[in-house]
Amino acid sequence: MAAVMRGTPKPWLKTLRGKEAIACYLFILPWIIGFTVFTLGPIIASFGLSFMDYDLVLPPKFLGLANFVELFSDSLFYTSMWNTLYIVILAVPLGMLASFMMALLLNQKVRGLAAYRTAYFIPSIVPAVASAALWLYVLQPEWGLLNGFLSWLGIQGPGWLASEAWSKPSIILLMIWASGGSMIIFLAGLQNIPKEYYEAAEIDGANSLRRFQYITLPLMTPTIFFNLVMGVIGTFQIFSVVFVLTDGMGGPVNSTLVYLIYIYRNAFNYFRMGFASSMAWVLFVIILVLTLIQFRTARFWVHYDTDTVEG
Amino acid sequence: MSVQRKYSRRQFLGIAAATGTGLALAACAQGIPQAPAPAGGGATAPAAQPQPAAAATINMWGWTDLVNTDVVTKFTDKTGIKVNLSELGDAVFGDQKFLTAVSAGTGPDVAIQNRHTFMQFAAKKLYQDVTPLMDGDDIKVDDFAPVQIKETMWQGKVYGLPMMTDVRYLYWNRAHFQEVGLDPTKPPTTWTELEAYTDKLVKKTSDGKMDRYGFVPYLYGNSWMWLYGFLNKAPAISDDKRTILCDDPKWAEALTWMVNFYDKHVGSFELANAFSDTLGKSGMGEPFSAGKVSMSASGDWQVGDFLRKPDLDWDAAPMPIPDGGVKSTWSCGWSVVMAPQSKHQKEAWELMKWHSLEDGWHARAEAAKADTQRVWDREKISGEPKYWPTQAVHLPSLQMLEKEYVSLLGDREKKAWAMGMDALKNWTHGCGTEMGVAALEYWVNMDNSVRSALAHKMTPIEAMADCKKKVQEATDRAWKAIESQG
Amino acid sequence: MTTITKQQESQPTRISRTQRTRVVKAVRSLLTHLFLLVGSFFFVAPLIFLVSTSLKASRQIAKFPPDLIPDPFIWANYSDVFIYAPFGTYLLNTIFIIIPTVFGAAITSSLAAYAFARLRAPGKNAIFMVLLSTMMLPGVVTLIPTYILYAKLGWVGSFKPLIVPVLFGNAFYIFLMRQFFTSLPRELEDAALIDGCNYLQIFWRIILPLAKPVMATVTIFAFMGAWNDYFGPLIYLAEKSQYTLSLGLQVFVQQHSTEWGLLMAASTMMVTPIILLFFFAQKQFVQGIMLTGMKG
Repeated sequence: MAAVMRGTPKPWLKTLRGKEAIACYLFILPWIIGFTVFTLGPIIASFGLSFMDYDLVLPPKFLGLANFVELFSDSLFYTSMWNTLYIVILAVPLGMLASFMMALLLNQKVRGLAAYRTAYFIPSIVPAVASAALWLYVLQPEWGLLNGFLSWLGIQGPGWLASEAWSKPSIILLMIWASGGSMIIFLAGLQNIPKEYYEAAEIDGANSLRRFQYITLPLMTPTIFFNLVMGVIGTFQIFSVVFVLTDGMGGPVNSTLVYLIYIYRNAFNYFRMGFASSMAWVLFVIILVLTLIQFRTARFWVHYDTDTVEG
Repeated sequence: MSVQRKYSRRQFLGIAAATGTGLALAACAQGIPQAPAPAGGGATAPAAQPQPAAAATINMWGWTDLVNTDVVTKFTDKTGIKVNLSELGDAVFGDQKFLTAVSAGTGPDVAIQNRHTFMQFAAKKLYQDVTPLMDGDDIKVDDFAPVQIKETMWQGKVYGLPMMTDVRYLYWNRAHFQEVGLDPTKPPTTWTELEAYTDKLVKKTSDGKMDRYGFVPYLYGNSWMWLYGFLNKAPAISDDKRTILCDDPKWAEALTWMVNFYDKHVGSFELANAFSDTLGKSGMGEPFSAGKVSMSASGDWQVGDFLRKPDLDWDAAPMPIPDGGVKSTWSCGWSVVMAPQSKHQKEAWELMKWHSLEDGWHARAEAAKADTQRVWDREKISGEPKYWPTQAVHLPSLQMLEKEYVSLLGDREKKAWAMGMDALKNWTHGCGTEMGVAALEYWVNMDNSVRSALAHKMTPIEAMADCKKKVQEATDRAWKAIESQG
Repeated sequence: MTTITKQQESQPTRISRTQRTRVVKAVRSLLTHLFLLVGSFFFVAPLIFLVSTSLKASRQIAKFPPDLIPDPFIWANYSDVFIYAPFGTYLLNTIFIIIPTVFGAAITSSLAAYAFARLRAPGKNAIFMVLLSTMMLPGVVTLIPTYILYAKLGWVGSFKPLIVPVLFGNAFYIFLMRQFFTSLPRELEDAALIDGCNYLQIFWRIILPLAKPVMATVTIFAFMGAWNDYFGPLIYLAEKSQYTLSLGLQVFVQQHSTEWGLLMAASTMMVTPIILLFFFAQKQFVQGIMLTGMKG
């Protein structure tokens, strides 16, 4: 260590900075190897296929931009993109808000905390068939629990999953309910905050609202940022929930036809893997741009205790 | 020719993969067990490559439940051919698994496949032509129910053996009939009667909620638009499978009747549909068994479920028909195929026959009967176990099932079985033959059109014109691909 | 943490403050419990539904609206599950896949996450973006080339496609842990560096012990991911004897008629260990909070 401090010029790799860089690359190396061997090839292949006609049987034929041209004139492309955007715009912030509040609630010093936490995580654990069946009963327009409760309040409930107007909100509701995964991440984030900060703040006489505002919230920004970025990436690719609840049809009348169901249909039902790949790459670009924007704007609100990362 | 093509495609993907991996994957291409040419076009007879029977283990992708596993085990006991049975997956993942593996050149030897997409897959040579094998064993097309065997044929060749089917009937609840003063032995026989009966059977709660429907046309039980079209003599596709005919006035006519039926006798399509969806999509039940609808259009398999509920007083009849309509119904089901890369055609063919013909059906019935006994024991159902066989397609197998198993059941069940036999021989429509080479597009678009009309977003004529436009486009595209494949 | 000292509050007298605090605490605790209890109901409902259905006969499962209490109770649903499939073998297979998966997720990913969070190197941020972008392309269009790759490696029909790629780390876990590592105080590392520790030692001795909550979180995710994976085993495993639990459940799903009672009984048995595991893991955490006197 002391040698580095001396002023004699050294090859960059031998400097402190150089050693740090080498360590950095070495630590990332396993992932890079895995990525190169298992992921990169298929990604390149699908990129290539997006410019081709590939029906899973015949050799792919080069089409140029024809898939993309067709895509932008396909009305179901817009329908499915709109359905997906609708869900992303509402489900991501609402899901984060709900799971953050749950995490705050579950981070208190109360009896039976472990049991509560487990309870709130159950929707993420039980098999999809069980929760889908349950939701179908809950959202049943005439006999369901939810509309029963609403009518008790004097409100005429909607048709939920059966209604074109309410099918997307129904799915969003279900997603929020099953956001136990991000709750767990928020909980871990809350536990990561050094207790000394709160102790110091209490000595300073800060009330709980202030402590939340000046300690919890700023220190939670990296976790919030993570859930936001992953929420956008994941929700754009929503598939299983909708598939199970609508029998794969994306109904009623395409109102829940999300982008990935349409990709899936083209790829494996209509034998149009090339077209499906072009759809996937359009989605890729959209998600990538949104993610980059999030990283660029992160420096204004995400608090890191380090200067080496952006976003 | 097709080997060449398959290779160049795989090489493309191989090279693409290698670009990323830095491994010389393209060089490994030779390492893939080379598949024989798909037996398309009848150029190569699969039987020409015999394999020693004892050594081979063949792969089958099918259902892994107890009964199907037992059927395969008994096959091995009998023939000495080892079978590695693995799960096909449900509709979504099943197609994905089969198509992925076959396009990667590592498909199974034998697979179970749905007939509603059969033509779409067969036309792409995703199954092997088994006509020479049938001829070699003197198995005739006439040995099978006529419509169902046609579903597994493409351009005069047979691409798989039909296994089972599921004719749709009208089921009615005799207790409900009695309750409202209808003769419980007389189901409606025309659409007009169906409407009158429905009005009598409907029951609402005091606060106006629907407690029991009389009859709901769409998707109560398992009644797609296809059924109503065929009852109204509507043609779905031209004989050459090139022209989609859902714009035929007969379709719009049937759909108009359906729209009116909802408006006059059901109330809101949305609410009615939500009602059946809750049970149907959750898969846990269906409105007829739950006593929530008095008449239901559904498939033959339901009888097996009904028998588990001794309190349910059901009966079955052919679907009511429109004025000027014809006694008709609709059926779909499963077939057993040889995947294009199978290297063990001889053994695979034996296994296919086992799944389609009498011996295998006998094994299946025995296994299923034992399972029925287990169900009765487990669920403490009163009375003797009642085993209702799945409908085979092979006619001698159907006769065997009738003689050995249906004969043990009551008169009502025997009557229902006889009706099914009659339908299979004389008056059912298939699914595969009617949907052509873009089956899934037809399926999806027909459903969308019907729902749009029922929700009054389109008139029936507009809805069917929309269906025609989209499916014709898809069909033309599929044909273009088929013709370039040669 | 300059923010903490910024705010000042008028100091009330000592006595009134403790009294007020006590009342506030009692009310808050009551409200919290009320909230948590009502909330729990919504989230435990599917479990109740699952267990209730698992004890019903099929004729009762078909009822609408559904009953809550089984009548009669069909306990045999639980014992019959084992007639239908060798779930013991499936459990062993699942564990066989889970152990390396969790290990890989935790170790490889945390190393990379540490590098992304703390170490400076040219091009690091670009690599990080590539890492994130691997999650942005839907798997449905890379499935066939991926499958071909595994087929060429001769891995199809073995556990390898389900295990080996995960050993090299996973983008989701790396990103998650990176976010946590960045918010750890830097002073400890600087001190360690001056003491002559290398980066691996810093990671091992300083970062990892501080990162327990996130390591536990990643473990839970990795565990559940492998436990619930249906599609991977379906595509890549070739024999029934290799099946995992989630794929094994397929034996109850037959054409047109699913044995719901059995399926739900098997599912109940499958989620119970997860719930217990999670509960006891949380108990550890909660104790941690109680000891350090967490206040919020």
